[in-house]
Amino acid sequence: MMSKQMKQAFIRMILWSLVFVFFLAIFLSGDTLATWGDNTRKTIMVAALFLAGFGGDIVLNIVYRKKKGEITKDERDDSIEKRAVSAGFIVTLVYVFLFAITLYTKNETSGFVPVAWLWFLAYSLICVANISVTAFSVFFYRKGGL
Amino acid sequence: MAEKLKNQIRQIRRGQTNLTQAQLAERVGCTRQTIVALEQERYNPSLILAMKIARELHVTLEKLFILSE
Repeated sequence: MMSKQMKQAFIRMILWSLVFVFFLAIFLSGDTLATWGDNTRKTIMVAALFLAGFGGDIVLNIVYRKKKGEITKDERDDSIEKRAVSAGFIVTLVYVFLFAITLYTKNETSGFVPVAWLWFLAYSLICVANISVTAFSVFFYRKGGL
Repeated sequence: MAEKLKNQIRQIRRGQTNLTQAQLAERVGCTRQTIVALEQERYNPSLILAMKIARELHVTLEKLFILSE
């Protein structure tokens, strides 16, 4: 049986994966990248999507809040959380590095980078960080202890 | 060679006490899943948790945990 902490990590992983999929669908469809600054409708859609993501985190914290006298978290959960955050940090670091280098390589000859890619990086970074940390949490929980 | 921490938690809990995993977890202040992980030797506890478990099972640490190669 999954512990409350593992369930929470699993649901957060699904939640942020969905946010990421919808974000990619919004951002990479049509001419969004070229017209990002003028596309108010899509800007609001992406903002609403991320509000839903963070809102979901808040709701999960309320649903899974500690009841009086209940032990929902201990040293093993803390240990797993620390390892998941460390591993997620490395994934996020690699993602930003590769993204920046790819942008540079693709636009090296023109000398210009479409500014919308910076918005893409900013938003996608939130998704990648959340997904990787929660996925590592689930992985470490499934592995057992540490 | 890597050393492994083995333990007798399950045997002592079942043989010398009538505690369930949940009851032991509650007494030592951890989750039932941590007791499961400990009994399956998939998690090495902190010294504090190890001492709390030994106290609840009325055994010494040496009897509860064995360092094996």
